[in-house]
Amino acid sequence: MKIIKKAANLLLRLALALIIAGIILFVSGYSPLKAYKAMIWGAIGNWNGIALSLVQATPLIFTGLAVAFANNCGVFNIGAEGQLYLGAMAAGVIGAYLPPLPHYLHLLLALLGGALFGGLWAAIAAWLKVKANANEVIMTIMLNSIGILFCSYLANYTFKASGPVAQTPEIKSTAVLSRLSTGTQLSSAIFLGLALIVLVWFVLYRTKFGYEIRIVGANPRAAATAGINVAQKITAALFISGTLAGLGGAGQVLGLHGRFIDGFSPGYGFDGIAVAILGGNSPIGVLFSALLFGLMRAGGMVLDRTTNIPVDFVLIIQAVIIVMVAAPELFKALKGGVKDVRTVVKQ
Amino acid sequence: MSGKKTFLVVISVLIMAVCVCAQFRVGVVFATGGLGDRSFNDSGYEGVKRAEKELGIAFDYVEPQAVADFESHQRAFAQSNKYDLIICLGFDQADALKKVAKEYPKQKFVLIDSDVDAPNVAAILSKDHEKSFLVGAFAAMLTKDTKNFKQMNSAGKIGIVGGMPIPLIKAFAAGYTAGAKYIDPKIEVYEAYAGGWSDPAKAKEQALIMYSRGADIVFQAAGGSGLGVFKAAKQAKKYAIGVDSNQNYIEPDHILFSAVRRLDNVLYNQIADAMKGQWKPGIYKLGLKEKAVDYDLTKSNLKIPTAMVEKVEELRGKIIAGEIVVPDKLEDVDAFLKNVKR
Repeated sequence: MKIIKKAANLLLRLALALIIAGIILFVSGYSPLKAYKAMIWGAIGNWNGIALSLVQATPLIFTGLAVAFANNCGVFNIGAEGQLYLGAMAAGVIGAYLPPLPHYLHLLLALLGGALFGGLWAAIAAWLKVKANANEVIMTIMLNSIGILFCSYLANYTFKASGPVAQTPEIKSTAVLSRLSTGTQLSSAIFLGLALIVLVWFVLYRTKFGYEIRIVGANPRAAATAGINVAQKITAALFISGTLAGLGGAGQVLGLHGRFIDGFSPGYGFDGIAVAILGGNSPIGVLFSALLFGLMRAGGMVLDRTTNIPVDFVLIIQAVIIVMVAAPELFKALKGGVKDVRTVVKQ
Repeated sequence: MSGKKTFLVVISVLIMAVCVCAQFRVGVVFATGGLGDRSFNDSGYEGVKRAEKELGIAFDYVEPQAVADFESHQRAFAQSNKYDLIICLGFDQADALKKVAKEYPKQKFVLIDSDVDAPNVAAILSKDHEKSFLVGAFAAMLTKDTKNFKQMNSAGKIGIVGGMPIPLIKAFAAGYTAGAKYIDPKIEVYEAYAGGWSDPAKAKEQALIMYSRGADIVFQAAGGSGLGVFKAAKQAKKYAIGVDSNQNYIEPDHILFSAVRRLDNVLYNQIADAMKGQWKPGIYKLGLKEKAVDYDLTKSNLKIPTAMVEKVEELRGKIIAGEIVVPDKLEDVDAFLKNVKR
């Protein structure tokens, strides 16, 4: 009953979002119906659309999980973007420069390298928080800039492939996360993402370690009183969060681009924050909200390509829908607002 | 039976007629900067727009939000089988196009700024050294023109600030130096790099150093960093040269002119060739002859003396005629100056 109510509420909010975005489109002289048709067709209309949606969702599963994991421990990891870049760079370098190795071993090393460097990058923030009482939000934000620009430096100089583009050489075929079908960009990275969802769920809800993480997240003082080593848990949570984001970057490099490309991420790490919060910081929730983001992006790409609606409107439509979906208490708040006004008027 | 046959023939003739009359369709995949950049993408858009107006083509375009999106946009355009020509802007589309062009061998593609070698791709590079030669020649004459330009000294020094010391940018420096020394072998050309494309502070420092060492004019080939060169010119009350798009409006009292790319001409010509059936795949380096590069004097408040413009136009003629072959490497400049006929 509760679920049905929730679903109905969600549908109502989605409808409201479509109406608001529709009005914006209509006022600007574009046909909302045409736009929505293109978006829906693009996102789920055929196999290509579905594949594109999954391609767009894949990195967000990783970054969403990363942010959600840290949030469960009460740590706000806003640095998933930087960790994603470090992981991507590590995977790209291992994939391109290691001497010939058996296929799965090479791939495994590249993934592990991505996870490790993403994790270590986040661990810097954890260390500063625990040792120097630094605020992790500021630390992870600042480490974003350092990490992204450091990778940019490496792609421009140290590991630069010849040619005009700032990118590393192509990875060897033994390090490739294979594509699921020709003619789409969908790679087996998505299976890795799904496996991690299950793994993170298991760790958080079925292990002592996960339980302690969540206790620290809920009330660090109580956790400390109960004998939990809070500093250690925070460090571990940030490290794991970083490995998840790093694996996301590695997945993009090994499955999609085939190399590290400077500036490859349009903000997967930052969208991961929205994905995590929208998904209520639960692994299953992250899966669904990443899929929603993927659908929006895929639909937006087709909308941009097949209609004359400028890409800025595409971004507006996406934003309105996400804002509405992210406001579960919207109708209650609206009702409350009306009541408040009434009482004010009475007085 | 024969009635049915006639009917079929009529129908197929009609279909063919429709096919022949059907509009020529172009799909454009822009670079990630998107439209409104007042440079690369906008200039390409202008060319396609002109083709729409003058050649009656229809076009669809897309502004990708991420490098990852290039491949699926290119593929979707090709897959739809609706486009006679698909134009991809920017060298970072090369990886994706290598894959997609192979999947759709009958689809014609145009790729700007990269050298993808495929039987269905026309890859187009620009001879930036040729436009740099012309502005270098201008600079060599102007820096001695103390009569019309109060701020010029007669030290005979000019400069160039590049983004990074990569071959693409060194070609600018080579053309610029060759152009200046072609006019006056005693001209000294300072050369420095900002170390990045979005570091205006560093570029400004580099330019200020050049001005303080006696340079009057600094040419920028540093992308977003180059804005710092204009700031330096304003601060030092000296002169600068814009690049790629017409940047004269940014500091109209200090920017003499811009060495521009004419991506609009390039795309327009590609579309026109494809419509006439004259389109050919291959790797092309387009310069002054193809009107792919040029200089632009408009929107600056500084008036360039007519005699100088005439001289530079004479040089343009010689480059187009092949009498002057502008070097694109700095190490070739000395040999060029020794052998060139003046």
